[in-house]
Amino acid sequence: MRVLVTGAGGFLGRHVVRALHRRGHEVVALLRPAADIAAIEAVEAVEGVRVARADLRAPAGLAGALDGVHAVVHLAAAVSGDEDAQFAATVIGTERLLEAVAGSDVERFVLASSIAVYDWGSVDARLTEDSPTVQDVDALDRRGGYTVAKLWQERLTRRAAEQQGWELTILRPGFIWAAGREPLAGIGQTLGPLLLVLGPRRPLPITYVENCAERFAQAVDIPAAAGRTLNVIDPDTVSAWRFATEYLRRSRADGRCVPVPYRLGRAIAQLAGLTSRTAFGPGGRLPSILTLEHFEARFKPLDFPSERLRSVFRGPAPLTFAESLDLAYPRRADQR
Amino acid sequence: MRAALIGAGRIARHHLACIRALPGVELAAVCDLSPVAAEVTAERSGARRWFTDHRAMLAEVAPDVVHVTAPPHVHYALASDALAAGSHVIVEKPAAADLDDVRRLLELAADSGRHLVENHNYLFNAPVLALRDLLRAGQLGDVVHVEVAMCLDILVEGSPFADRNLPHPALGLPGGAIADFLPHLASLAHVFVASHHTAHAVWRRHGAGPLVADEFRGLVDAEHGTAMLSFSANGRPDLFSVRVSGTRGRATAGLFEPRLVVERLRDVPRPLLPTINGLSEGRTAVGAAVGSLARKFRGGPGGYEGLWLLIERTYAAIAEGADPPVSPADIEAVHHLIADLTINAPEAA
Repeated sequence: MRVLVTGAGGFLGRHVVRALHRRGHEVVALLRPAADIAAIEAVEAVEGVRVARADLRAPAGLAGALDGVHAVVHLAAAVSGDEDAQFAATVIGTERLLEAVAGSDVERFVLASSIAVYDWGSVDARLTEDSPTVQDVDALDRRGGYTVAKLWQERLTRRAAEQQGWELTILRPGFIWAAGREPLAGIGQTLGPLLLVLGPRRPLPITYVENCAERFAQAVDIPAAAGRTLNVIDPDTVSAWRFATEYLRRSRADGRCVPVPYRLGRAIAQLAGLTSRTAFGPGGRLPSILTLEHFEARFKPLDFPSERLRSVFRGPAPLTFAESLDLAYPRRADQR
Repeated sequence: MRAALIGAGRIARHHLACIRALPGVELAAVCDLSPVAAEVTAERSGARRWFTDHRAMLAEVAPDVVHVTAPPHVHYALASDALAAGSHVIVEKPAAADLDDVRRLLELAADSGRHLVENHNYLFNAPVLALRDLLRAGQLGDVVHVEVAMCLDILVEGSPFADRNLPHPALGLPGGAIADFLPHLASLAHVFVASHHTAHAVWRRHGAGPLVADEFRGLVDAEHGTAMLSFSANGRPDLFSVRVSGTRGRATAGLFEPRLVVERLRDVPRPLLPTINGLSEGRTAVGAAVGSLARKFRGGPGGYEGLWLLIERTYAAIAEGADPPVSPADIEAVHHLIADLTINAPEAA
C-alpha cells in the first residue's frame, strides 16, 4: 500500500518510515520545505521512499503528494513554540491535510495524538483508553497549548473520518524516548547537577521510539486497529527511579538522582497555587511545574495497562525495556 | 455594544481577553478563514457565533465594533468592508499597506460617520502615560528631542520571523521584518514631537541572517522637536524605550520592563543635583525590578496593558459620542512618517 507519512523527518517519523518499509509499504515521506539535511538523508536512506516537500500550514502545498496514496500516517505537529504557534502548526495544519485527503483515495488514516489529552486530575489508579479527556474549556486553557492542539486535532480528524468515510486509528503515545530524548519532563525536574525524581516508585508511561514506530506501521494494515483509539505505552513497567538511574549510568551524564515524594511535590504545587490565588486572584500565573494540572499530568502515580494495545496488535512490543536500553546506549552495552 | 473580530491569530487573543473584561460589551461573532480556528476561538472566548466569510458575518451580525486582527496585507480590505457595513473599526497596525490606502480608509470612515482606530497600543502603557503626564505638568519643560529605541532578537528560535517553512508576510514589505515594528516606533515619536517636516533613514544589513535589513535608524525633524527612531535586531539584551529630552529634564520610559526614570532640574543646590537624581533613579529601578517580577506572576494583560486601555477608551468614546483615543490625524501623520522613512528601504529580491 502507498502510505503518506507527515512529519516524516521528525524524531518518530524517521522510524515510522523505516517500519512501514519493513512491512512492505511504499512510503511517501512528507518533509517541510526547510527540513534539515539530516532529516532528508535519514528518510532518503530508506529504499524506495519518495520525498514530498510541503508545509501543512500553507494552502495548496499538498498537490500531488496524495496521488495513489491509500493510507496516511499523520505525525506532523509542533512540540514547541507558544500556544498560537502550536495551534497553527498542529491543528490548522491538520485541517489543511484533511481538506486534501477529502478528494483522494485514502482509506486508512492513523493519527498521532498523545496521552496529554487525558484529564489526569480525575483519573483514578489506572489510565486507560476509557479515561476521560479534558472537556472543560477553562481547564483546557490551563493545561496549555500542546493539550489544546492534540484534542482539537483528534476532534477534527474524527469528524472528517465520519464525513469522508475512511477508517481512523488514533494512537496516543506516552513519552516516546531514545538516547538523547530521555523523558526528563515526565521524570521530574533538573536542578543544576541534580535530577529530582518526582514520585520515584511510580510507573513511567514510556514507549521506546522503535516500539512506538512499529505500532504506527501496524495500525496502517492490521484490520483490528481500524476505528480504535489506543494508548501506546510499552508493556514493561519501568519506575521513574529506574529510568533515571539507568539513564544517568548508561549515558554517563554528570548528575545525581534525588527522590522527591509525589505528595511533597504536589503539596508544593498546591501551596504555590494558593499563594498565587491569594495574591493575584484567579488570573495569576505560575511556572508550569507549579500549576497543579500540569504537575498531575506529568507525575501522577498511575498504572498504564497495555492489554488493549496488545490485543489489537496481537503481541508485545518488539523490544523489551532491557533491549531498548541496550539499543539506545550501545557503547555502554559493548563494554559489558 | 456588540463586538466582532476578524482574524483569529496570535494578537486576537489579547483583543478577545480585553473584550471579555469590558462591561456592557458582548462578543457577537468571530471570523477566520480556517473553520477550526474560528470555532476554537469562539468556544474559548464565549463568542455566540463563528464565521469563515467576513461579509456574511457583517451582514448577519451587524456588529457595532469590528476588530481587524488578520494578517497585515488584508487589513485594508477587511476594514473597508466593516466600515461600509456601518461598524466602527479597531484595526491592528499597520491599518493598510501604504499611505494612500490609509488615507482612503480614513476618508471612508469619515464618510460613514464611523471611527477607525489603529492599534497604537504602546502610547497607552503605564510608563508612557506617566511620561505624557510629566510633560503636561511641565516637569520636563518643552520637548527638545525624543529617542524611541527597540532592540529585539527577532530571529530567535520560535519567532515567526525565523520560520523558514512559512515566511512571515512582513518579510515582503519594504524594510522586511523591521517594517512590522515601524508603526510602534513612529506612533511613539509622533505623540511627543507631532507631525514631521523631514525624515531620513539608514537601513543596514549588519548580520549574515536572512533579513533584508536588520538595523534601522531614522532621524526626524518635526513640529515640536527632533526624533531618533531605531531598531536593532543585533543589539542585546532586548530593549524597548522612549527617552524624551526637555528643556527642564529628561525621562526614559521602559516598555518591555516597565519603568519611568526621570532626571530633572530641582530646587536643590546644584552640586547635589546628580546625587538626588541618582537616588531617585535607584529607587525607581528597584521598584521596577520587583514590579516586573510581580507582573510575570500576576497574569492579565502584561505588556498588552496599553492595548486593553486603548480598546476600553475606544468603546467609551463610541458610547459617549466622544473623540477616539487615536485620532484620524494621528493615524495619517504616523503613516506619512512611515512612508518617508521607507522611501529608501531595501526590499526582498
